[in-house]
Amino acid sequence: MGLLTTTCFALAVQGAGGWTPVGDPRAVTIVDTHSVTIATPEKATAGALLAVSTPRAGALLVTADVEPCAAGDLAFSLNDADSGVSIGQFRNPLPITAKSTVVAALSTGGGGLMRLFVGAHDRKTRLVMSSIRQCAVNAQRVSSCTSLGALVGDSRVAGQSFVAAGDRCEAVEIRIRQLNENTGGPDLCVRLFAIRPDGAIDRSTPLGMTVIRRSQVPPAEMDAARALTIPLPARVARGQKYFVEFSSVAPCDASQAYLLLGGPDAYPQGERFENGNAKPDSDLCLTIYEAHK
Amino acid sequence: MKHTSSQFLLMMFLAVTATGAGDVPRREAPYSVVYYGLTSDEAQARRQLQTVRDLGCTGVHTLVYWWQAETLGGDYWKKDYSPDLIGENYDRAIDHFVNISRELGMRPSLRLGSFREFDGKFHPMDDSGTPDQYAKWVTKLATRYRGKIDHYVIGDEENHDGPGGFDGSANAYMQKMLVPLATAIRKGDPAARISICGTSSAPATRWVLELIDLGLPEYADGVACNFWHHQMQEPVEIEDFMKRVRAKWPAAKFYANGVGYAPNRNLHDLTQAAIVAQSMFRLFDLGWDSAPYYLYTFCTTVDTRQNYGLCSVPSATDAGSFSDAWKAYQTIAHTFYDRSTMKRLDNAARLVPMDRVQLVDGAPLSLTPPAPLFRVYESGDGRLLIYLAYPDAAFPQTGRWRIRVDRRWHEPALIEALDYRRRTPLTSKVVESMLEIEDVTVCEMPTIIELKDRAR
Repeated sequence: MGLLTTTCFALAVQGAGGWTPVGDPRAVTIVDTHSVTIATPEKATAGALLAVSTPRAGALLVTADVEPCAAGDLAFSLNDADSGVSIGQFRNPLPITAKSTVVAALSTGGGGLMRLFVGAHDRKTRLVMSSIRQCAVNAQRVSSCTSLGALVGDSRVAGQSFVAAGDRCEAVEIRIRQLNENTGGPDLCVRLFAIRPDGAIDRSTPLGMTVIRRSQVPPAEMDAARALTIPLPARVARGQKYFVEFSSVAPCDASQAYLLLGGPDAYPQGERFENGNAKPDSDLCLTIYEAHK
Repeated sequence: MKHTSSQFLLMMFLAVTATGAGDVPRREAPYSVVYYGLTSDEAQARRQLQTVRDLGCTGVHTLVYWWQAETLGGDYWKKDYSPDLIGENYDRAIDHFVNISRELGMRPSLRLGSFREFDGKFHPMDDSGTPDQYAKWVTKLATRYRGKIDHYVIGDEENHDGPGGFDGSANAYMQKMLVPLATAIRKGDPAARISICGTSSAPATRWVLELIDLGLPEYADGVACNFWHHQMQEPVEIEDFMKRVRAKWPAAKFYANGVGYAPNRNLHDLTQAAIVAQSMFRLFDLGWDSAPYYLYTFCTTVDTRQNYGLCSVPSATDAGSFSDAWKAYQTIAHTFYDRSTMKRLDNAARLVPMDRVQLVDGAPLSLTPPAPLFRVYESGDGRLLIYLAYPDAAFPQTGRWRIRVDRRWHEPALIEALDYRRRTPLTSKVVESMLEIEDVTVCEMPTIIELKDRAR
């Protein structure tokens, strides 16, 4: 399979007059430009809306720190400004059990003037969102194959090299689930490293690092390795090679491993790694979200 | 001449069942099951296969083993098998499988055993490690059922390394299994259709393309994959595979050997049913030729604690029991009945979200989840069939939509997901010269709407 890359240029997001409330005004508190609280004592739709200008064929990356809430309570939606139809949408598939950073890449479709909704749709809930940020990105798809698995944990470390197509890495998206049911165990650590011109991974300092709570990773029970978008902000140089690494934050046994999906080689500029060794015949199912200057 | 949909189905059924021992008419659809019920008891075989026929299958797929047909004097079988499935009784069981399937209008297909079952040997009593003796039995099998088998699948998952130093390469599979066994089949049945093994880590595109480069089309007619249900949600990989295989081999057939396996723990009955229905529709829609779902396998649901897949088959003393997944599969198979009589007409209908959130500035805003799988087919009997579902059944979404269609179509009705015979009329009105069906709920369980052609 060849390189699947969607590229967009001149990405820019412009707030137009800041957030405006949606639904019962008593249910929505817009604290500041980055913080919104929703309280719907009965099932209702309430949230905040922001006008954004998005490019064609890219994605809008929406990030927020969210207090605990039930599965499906949190909704991000990117809507066409004229028709009002939702073009890209995210709802938290799993409960948020402790304050967490939630990231979603919403498709921008044909681009143009759109509206970003953050809030709750037809839910009885209390949502506390802070550090809300949105950023237009391009999506560099390393592979969308899901026929092979790679384990993380039990002294196994998985990774993938790639060549930056933008100036700043914002997030990565993988297909992942916990390997077994109800095992507990350490959280998932995701780090970004540069690759030196001689091909070695420069481990002196990670360029970016994020820890994902185990509770945010889809459970084994549903047998569904699901797309998980992970914030990984780091400045990168276009055309340079980088390495994204997935490990457990602490030692764990085999039953507590994570399962990442991937497939045969689909990306000529990089390869999957297992415990630091390149596996040129395969790639992880991975999308890199990058922003331009 | 006008026919109601039930008359049409009845005619199709009679056309299929009336042929008996002659050629079974080809219904272009992939519906099949993996059948583990081989038995020398003819009445029981008939009961089991009638179940598969009732499901709406066009084919039925079973596994056949040389070492069950010919013991070569060994007693290895006594550990796991009863005499009912050994030697002449086994031959009789395959006879029943082939002949009764065909009587019921289904095309039987066979998967040939591998060297993997006995640590590198094709037969526990044959130490040669070569397929020579095995090929002789395969020729006998193909001769016995000449003209009666839809296709043969040679082995299973030989794209992985295996016992006896087998390295899993395309070349090794060609030499050790495909070429000798395909040649043996054609010796007994020159017109037989042949497929490679169902690949592990399917679609294993590179391995399959390498086989084609090694001359596969000279020996075979198609390729096979062992899929998992999650691959049906976003079939980009499957579509890419089909495109690349067809680019090298335009006539290739596509056999999904053992599709599915809904998640097998803790899911609810209706979720399992939705996954099975979506998988079968997806493979119909993508153009697969065969897609046997496991008829009975382990699957413990939250609701009914079933420890089987689609059903427990009937016996002389038990009427059998049929899961929601069986019923949902049945609805797909009886509704999307024959590709050769259907035409994709996606532009014939348009989706409009139901919800409108009130905004201060009066601008519209909808939070209905976008992008359900949306397909429109015109059937051969004057019906429009609309299929809608959100593909990620594990993390369900619900959306409410209006559907606008040309006024050529009328009397919209919902085909019940778990009862393909039942119709529930839907409310509609004329809006902007189109017929608008109001408030259609879409979730992980497919929503199927039928409309009639006013001109008929």
